[in-house]
Amino acid sequence: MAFENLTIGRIIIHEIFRLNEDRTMADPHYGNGLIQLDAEAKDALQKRITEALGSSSHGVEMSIHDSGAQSAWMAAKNIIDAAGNNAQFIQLSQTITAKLAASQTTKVVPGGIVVVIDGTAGHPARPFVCAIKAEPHPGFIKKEENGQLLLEYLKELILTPEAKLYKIGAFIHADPAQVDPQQPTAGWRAFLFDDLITKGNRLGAAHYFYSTFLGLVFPSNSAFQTKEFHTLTKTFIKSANIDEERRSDLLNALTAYLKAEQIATIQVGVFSDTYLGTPELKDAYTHYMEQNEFPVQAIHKDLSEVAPALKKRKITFGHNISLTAPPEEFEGLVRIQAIDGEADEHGQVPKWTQITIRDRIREQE
Amino acid sequence: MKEAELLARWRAEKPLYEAWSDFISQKVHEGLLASIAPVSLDYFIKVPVKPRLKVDSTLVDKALHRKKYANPYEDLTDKVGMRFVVLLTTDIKKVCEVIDAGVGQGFWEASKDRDYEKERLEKPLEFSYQSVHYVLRAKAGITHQGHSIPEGAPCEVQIRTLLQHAHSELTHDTLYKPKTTAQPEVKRTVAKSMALIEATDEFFEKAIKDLDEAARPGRELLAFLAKLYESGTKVAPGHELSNQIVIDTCFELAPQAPYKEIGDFLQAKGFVFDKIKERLTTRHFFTQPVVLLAYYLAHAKPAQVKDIWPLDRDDLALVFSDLGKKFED
Repeated sequence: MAFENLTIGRIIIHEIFRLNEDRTMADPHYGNGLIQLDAEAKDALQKRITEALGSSSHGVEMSIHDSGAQSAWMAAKNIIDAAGNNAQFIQLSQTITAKLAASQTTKVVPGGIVVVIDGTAGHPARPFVCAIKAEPHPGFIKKEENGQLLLEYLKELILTPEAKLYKIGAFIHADPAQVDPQQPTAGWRAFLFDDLITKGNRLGAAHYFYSTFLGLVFPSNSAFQTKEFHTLTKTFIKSANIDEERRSDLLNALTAYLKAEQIATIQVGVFSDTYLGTPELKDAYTHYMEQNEFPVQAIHKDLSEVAPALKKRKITFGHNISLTAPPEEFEGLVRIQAIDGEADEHGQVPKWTQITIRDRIREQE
Repeated sequence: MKEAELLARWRAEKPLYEAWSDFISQKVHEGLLASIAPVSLDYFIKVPVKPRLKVDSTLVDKALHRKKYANPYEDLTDKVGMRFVVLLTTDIKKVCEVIDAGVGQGFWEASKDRDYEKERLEKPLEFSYQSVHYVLRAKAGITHQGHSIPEGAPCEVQIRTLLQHAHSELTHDTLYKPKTTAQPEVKRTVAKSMALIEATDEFFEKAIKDLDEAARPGRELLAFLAKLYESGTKVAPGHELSNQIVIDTCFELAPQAPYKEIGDFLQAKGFVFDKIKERLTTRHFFTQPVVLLAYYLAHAKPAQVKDIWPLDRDDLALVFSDLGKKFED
């Protein structure tokens, strides 16, 4: 729970712009003072961060690749090291903003407001720094004048709950006790939220943000984590207290979820919300995955290790009878139903299985 | 005693009796306020208490003509009176206790001149007017509203249930007070309704007891949360209805007594109390102890609590956020 007990400390905003027509960079417009928010606004900002990076969110834990003197991580570290020094916070937040502006090297990438925040997160509380790029978008607010309801058009709203319109990078000094001269980022964790990444565009539009700007890479254990997700989820479905037809549907759904091409991340909450149906089953699944220490955030999908397991679905009955099929055919062509069998001499009705295969027999051995 | 003499004294002493009845009313209300908490007085007392002085002509009528008193003025104990109407027969006992306590506090001497429970035992076959009547006589040295109350000044206090009150309203001035020769069928009908009222009073008692019993597990959980809230935040927990609503809705999701899981969770996540304290002035929900249940359920059964949450979802979203969890679907 990296983002529990989140406390927002200092806040500052700056503005960056789209590249000029001649592809030169327009200088950022720097803010010079800290932003003061009242309690309600701070709560709302806290929610934006936990919605994006908290457990069950689409946020992804990343590995810190660039830890050089000019890196975003170094600026974050310097902010934390200079706790209490506002002048330094303001100056370092400008450095971060300049780095983002310089990372936007195509005209496709829009400008936006850069919000730099420091504070603490976790229990025990650990220092964190995050940078939000928020894209302004138009909207309306309701007003009342002399008892008359009016609409006011606002051209530049930011940080509304519309998650498509912001990206967040966060660095947490999660374990200050870890010190390794060979690896300066030991004990640090980095998180990324970018709606585009979850949609499979990870090598496209968002690259400038997570890689060029934040210096992050997808963790090297993604293939292992994806396989782990498959194994654990399968074990959960196999032991869940549901009927066999539903179990069959869920196993099909698991394969479909992993194979879905337009999605680049795997996430416990998404699988749960999309397929599990009842709140009870959702909670049981989330609990099971947490107990098995599977990450609560999104993970980067890498099918290389899990691919063999996705090739075949097998259903086994007693007496050495089994049915195998490619998973993608299973859903459309095979139907499995539990039915009541014929009563035995004691009047007990056994459960039988009715299998419908939407095809004729091609070959027998 | 002559009528003129009697009336002259009564007119002179009226302010004293008015003060005396006000004193009693005030003291009984104060005593009840403490003994029935957290139930409010407005709820407990079903008909507002209004001390009443006897009208001059009635005083003369009763003291000199209807009754044969040795000392007409002193012996007339209901020159001033008041009535407490409550819901249940057990509530009558609570009022009696407060009046008896007033004796110990040196306010008055109390004598019960009607006790329906005693009358029931004495006349088990009869169903008639039921009410508790006290006569409170002032102790020496009571001063109220600038009046020094004469020692021994009487005041009649009646205590009855709503149903007894209804019966009494029905029979007032027709059967009970004047000795009219009512028709036997009328008397019979009234006796039947009194019998019904007595039975209904008993059913009310049982219904309240059953309701109370059914609500006990929820009440115990709330008491547990309130204690935890107070020790964790050092702030007195709120008593608003939100608590009841959340407990009623989410009871099935909560762990069983002794609620070890909730205690362990809050032990591990001590920061929750700091988060609550930060919001005391801005978010009402965080002043109520049931907020702790919300934190626990957001941790242990997030999808289920989201599914059935009965109050403002913004508050629950904040609870999720404090635990580092995404809330919106």
